[in-house]
Amino acid sequence: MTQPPEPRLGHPHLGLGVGLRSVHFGHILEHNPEVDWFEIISENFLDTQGRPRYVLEQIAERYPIVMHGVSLSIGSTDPLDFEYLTKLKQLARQCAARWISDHLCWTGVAGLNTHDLLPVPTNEATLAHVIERVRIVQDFLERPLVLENPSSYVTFASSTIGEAEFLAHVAEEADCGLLLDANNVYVSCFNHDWDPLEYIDAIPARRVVQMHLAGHTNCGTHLIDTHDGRVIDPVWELYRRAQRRTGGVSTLLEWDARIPPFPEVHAEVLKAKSHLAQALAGDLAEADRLQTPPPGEVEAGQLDASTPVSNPVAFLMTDAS
Amino acid sequence: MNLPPDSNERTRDGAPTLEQTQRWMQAVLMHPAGVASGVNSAAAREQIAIDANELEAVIPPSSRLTPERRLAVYSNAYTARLIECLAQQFPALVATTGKDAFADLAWGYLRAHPSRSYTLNHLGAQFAAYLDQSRPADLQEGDSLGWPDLLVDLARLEWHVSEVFDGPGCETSPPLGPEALSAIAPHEWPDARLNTAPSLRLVTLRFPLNDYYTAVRRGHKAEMPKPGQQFLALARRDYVVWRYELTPNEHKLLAALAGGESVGDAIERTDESYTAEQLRNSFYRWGRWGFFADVERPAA
Repeated sequence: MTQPPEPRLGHPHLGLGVGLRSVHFGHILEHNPEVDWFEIISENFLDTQGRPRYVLEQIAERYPIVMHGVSLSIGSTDPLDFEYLTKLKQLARQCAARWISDHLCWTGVAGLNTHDLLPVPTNEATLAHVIERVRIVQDFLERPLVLENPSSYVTFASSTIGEAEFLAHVAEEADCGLLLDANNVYVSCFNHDWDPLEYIDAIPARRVVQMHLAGHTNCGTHLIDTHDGRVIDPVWELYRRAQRRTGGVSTLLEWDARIPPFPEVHAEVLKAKSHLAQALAGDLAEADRLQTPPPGEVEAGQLDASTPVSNPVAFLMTDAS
Repeated sequence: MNLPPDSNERTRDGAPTLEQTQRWMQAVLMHPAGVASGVNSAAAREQIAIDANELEAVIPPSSRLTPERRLAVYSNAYTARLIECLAQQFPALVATTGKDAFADLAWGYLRAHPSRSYTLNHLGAQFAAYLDQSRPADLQEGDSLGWPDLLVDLARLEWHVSEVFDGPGCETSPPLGPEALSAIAPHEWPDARLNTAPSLRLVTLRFPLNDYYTAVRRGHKAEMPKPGQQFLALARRDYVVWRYELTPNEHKLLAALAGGESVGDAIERTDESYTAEQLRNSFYRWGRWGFFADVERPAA
């Protein structure tokens, strides 16, 4: 790239949004809450001809919609699924999606789908593979793809490039956008003994189209991205640092397990307003380490001795009841 | 790390390729007996031939977790997530079997039918058939219907409800109401063809499960029904799935109409106990319930 891209690849700063979940359908249709925008899980609306699609049509008339997918499997060595991509493109047209995002991950091989967001070894071979597939997808969708950093629980001996640098290369060379999930940065960095500030600083800020916020579960020895609670202070700290670099991008809160009533979810994302203002005012000290101690010492997400599950079902499917 | 015999697909530095890594990891995390067994499985060793105690060659430890425990995060989540998904698709079945027994059935199903779709909405499509085919032989009491049959029928009913919920409906193109049906001239009826609404689904059950299903979905305790045939029609109105009980004659008539037969031919399928008044009442109710999308009148 000889010219730096426009900030956010030219996409608008939509403000503070909430992940659309079926338990909140009734509340949203009845109360028209003053939310800036909604993000949908694309797969939940691709095939339905029933109420979920009807609700989406109603909501898309009143709010900007962004499509967030979980099955693109951009890092998989299986062929791309063009039937899926065709449906994705149709849905984007029907709900006037502002952009389409998915994750830097693979979900399955040999025709199977684990329905998990599995990490890739970050090395030159994977980089070339992912860049080629992002280009193909973008050509097909006729729009830039926006890729999110996933939460992960393993690394690979064959990795030779840091994950943030890997994402930066993908974004620059495939000319795509990035969805920077501050909670995922925190979770993965804790799990892999990485420095979250270095991670944030290695992300090319002008490529960041959107940020995600969520809660996670502290299992003591590791963190799991359960989307089941409030955003903790160290994640807000990462959020402020990232937003200072981006100059302000659309922000979305995900809450997918033990989902509270809509006003509570909305109130949580509205907290981002003051963090964003603080970040953009430029009065933040440039820390060289997180100001909040790591989990296990003072504060963390839900401490849970059971077996928490990443990407909970409410994130992946709608409720037909 | 021992390379498999035909390892010429390896990268230059001897590391496994991306495809080998992914096929190996998938075999490990989907293995029903956990990570160590997964690593030692033939499917995993075909890709990367290491033992469980050599895992660090592929997955380094973190400062707090061994490679095996790191992989177990994915392995545990795979099982728990997909069982939870099936539990959401079959809530009445969960209420009937209890959570633990349901989890055992679901896990057996997932091993036999792992997801091949981009969406979880299709995950339970083969569950009823799986329950039917995998019933324990010692619970089979001759030809009589038993507990496994009830579970099969309940799973079928729940899946039909899901399909009608997400399938095509008449919400944007109103079906024929009673008035439209009564506008069909008497002489046109025998040769008319009533095209059924796209959401209409006819279900034959071997247990009268309709009231039982309603009760357990409402969280009520309900007595398990004894064997007995029940005919249901499922249809969607205003995005809500409704269940209607049918008499045997109504079922025969509707099935024939849904199969494309003319009204006259379809009525021929019913027996003499179906009186003309009952017939009129049936069509009136079906009009109210939106069972018919449109009518093809005979050519003049």
